[in-house]
Amino acid sequence: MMKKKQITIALAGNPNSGKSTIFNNLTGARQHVGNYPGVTVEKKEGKTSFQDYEINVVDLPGTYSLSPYSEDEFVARDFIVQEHPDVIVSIIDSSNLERNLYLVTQLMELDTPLILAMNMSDMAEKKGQDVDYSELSKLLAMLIVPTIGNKNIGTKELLAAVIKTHENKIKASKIHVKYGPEVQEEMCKLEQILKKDKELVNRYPWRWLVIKMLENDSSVLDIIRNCSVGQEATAQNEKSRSHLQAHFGDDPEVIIADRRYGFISGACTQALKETTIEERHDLSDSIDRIVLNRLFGIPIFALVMYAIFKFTFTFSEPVVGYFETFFGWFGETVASIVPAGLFQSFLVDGIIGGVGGVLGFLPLVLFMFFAIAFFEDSGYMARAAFVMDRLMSKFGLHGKSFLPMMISTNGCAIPGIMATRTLESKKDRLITMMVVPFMICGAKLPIFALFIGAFFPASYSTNIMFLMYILSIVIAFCSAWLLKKFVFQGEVSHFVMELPPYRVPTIKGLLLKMGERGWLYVKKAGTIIVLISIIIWAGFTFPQNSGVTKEGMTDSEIATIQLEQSYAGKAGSLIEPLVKPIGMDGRSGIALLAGVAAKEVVVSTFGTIYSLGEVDVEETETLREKLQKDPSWSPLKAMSFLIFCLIYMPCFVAMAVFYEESGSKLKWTLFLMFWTTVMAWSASFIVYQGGMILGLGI
Amino acid sequence: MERTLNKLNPKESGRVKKILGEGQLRKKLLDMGIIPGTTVEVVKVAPLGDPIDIKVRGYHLSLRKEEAALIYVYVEEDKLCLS
Ligand SMILES: Nc1nc2c(ncn2[C@@H]2O[C@H](COP(=O)(O)OP(=O)(O)O)[C@@H](O)[C@H]2O)c(=O)[nH]1
Repeated sequence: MMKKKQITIALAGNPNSGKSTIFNNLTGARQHVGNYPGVTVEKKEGKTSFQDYEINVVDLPGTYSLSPYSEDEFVARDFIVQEHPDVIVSIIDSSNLERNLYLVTQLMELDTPLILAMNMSDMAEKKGQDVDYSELSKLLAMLIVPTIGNKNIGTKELLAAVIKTHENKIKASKIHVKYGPEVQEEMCKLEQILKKDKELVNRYPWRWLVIKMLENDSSVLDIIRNCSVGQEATAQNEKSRSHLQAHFGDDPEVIIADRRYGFISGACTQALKETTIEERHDLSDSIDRIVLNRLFGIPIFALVMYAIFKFTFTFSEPVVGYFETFFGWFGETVASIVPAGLFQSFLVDGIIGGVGGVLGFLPLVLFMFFAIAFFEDSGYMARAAFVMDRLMSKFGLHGKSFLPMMISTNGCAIPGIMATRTLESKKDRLITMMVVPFMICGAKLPIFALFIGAFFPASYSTNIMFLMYILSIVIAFCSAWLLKKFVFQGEVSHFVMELPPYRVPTIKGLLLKMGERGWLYVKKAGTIIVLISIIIWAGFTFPQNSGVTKEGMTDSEIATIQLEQSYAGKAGSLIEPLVKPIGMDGRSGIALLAGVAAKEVVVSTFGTIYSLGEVDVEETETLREKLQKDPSWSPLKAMSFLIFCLIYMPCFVAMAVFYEESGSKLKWTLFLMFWTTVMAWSASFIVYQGGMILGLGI
Repeated sequence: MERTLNKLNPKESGRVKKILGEGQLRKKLLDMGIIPGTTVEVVKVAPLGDPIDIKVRGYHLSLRKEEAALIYVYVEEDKLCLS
């Protein structure tokens, strides 16, 4: 058999054009998610075979233009212009033709062969749009395939068109937008200069460079400045821009955008048969009249949030149980195979215990991802950002910030931090990332359950828990406000966001999205947590108990001695003076210190401290009694402790992810560590000392 | 009459005259299809009074009022009033 020929195709298109759906149709389950080197945006790749070709399909992040605004868009742009895929498949939402074709006009400026997938053709038809495909194909000089992504219609035809385009070497560059003689003249001048740098024009299509220069695209201007003809080109560009400015009385970028849209309307008038697109009020508009209603908008938002939590908890609870049972069983099995001793303890307590603690949350996180994917694909998330933006922006956040914060509440800060990628401005993204860890995540929950149960009357416990949630939100918002006021002063952010039409998501699409994000979470959390679990385990295990044990001592007494002798124990007594002013002793200090590994470890550390050995985080009954009986605790101290736990530094895994996502900024990571801890200490200090003065300390 | 987009009430529409501001935001607005001559309609104001939902080139776009304030539009009705 002949060896298959390999080609790479890239899928480009606006967000919400159905790009992921087409990608899933093309590649089926043969896909994987990786990272682009250096940046944190996911790279989705898949393979498919068609005729005698093995086709590598790269799904690029959605983008509206080849001028990038967010990190996502940078990646899409760089891949398209630098990596020279064999064919670009441009996916458009045909029911929103004009704006979707705007990106296509820019793709036409590249030398890469291009084909057009006119997706959502069902929606377009419903609107009464009748396209003469062969006419449009001629006008744009590329093959066109109508598709319906969610019904998997047009997939084969699309692949056939890819092969045909590749084999015939149909170049997209046959037809370009006509920018008019004035612009064209300036383009020629710039072209002549740029072509002197062979390396530059081999790397980037010159036409694209020239147009982006005239458009004043800052990222392209940077590229130009660093090339061998940089000075000359930059000087000429400034001359050209001011010449055009004088000629048209408007900036060249306006003229260029205008010409592109002009080209599009021209093509549409020719290729659309008798456009009967009367402005029929579609279903989307009707839904929005309720969902974005002045009165109902916010209650509906609250209801949706509630529904997501309810769904997540109701369905994940049994599965979390299975996971715990599994890890318990797995630990025991390993313990029964490996002989008792240091190595067994290392495997069971160190690795399985630590990894199990984080992976135990996986079902919860997955259900949450599923629910969120549903609201994203249906189009509601954009509305939620729209409804919330006013409130959020007052505090230096962005309408889209609520999503990461929500993922973190009861879920986990790690996927929360990763979800900040959709934010375009650096400031919005960093502020959101810094406040996400304040939310009460699933791992902090057991601490609150334990202490509220132990020190406050049962009739108040729900209210106190609720108060803690409110407090976490208040703290997050206040910190955001402080960051905006003092750290990111004067930095702007925008809210130019499409409100896409509502659509019915497909189960396959939702499951794939959930799996993709879930896998990323496992990979991130999994790799770091193993390392940290080992360090924590070692801290409690070494130096080994040296001969102080006497015959007849109970296991728990031995455990207490071991604890006091360990590095962790010594660290605890070291930090005792620091935590005394907030009403805590060295033992709580150790627990807090250990909690930096993963917050649920606070509870299991108390378990160790109170010599219970293994404590199941879910069943804290006995530990609760021990705490109640310990005279050194009081409700005030418990409150101070809880407030500290609520605010102090995020767990190591979250910080590692923060470090990566903030663009490897050690400065910000350290800032986050100190900022949260100082704030936690101050808040606890006020609560504890204030409470003492008020005489609540009994 | 010429007004900035943030001053339009829901259901009012106009044609874009010019876009102020500079840099990224201005380019983004152009890329999203808001260029001189385009018809834009204010559809809705968010429950808390900001941002606004506008219809441009057949799709919905949301903008904060401060961004809408950069966009000058001719409002058709005003022309009628004046004549
Ligand atoms: N009616 C209709 N819906 C579609 C079509 N293609 C995709 N969808 C739906 O549109 C939504 C957004 O699709 P998605 O692939 O996530 O868009 P992306 O943002 O471009 O990746 C999903 O709910 C899909 O099920 C189509 O051709 N027709």
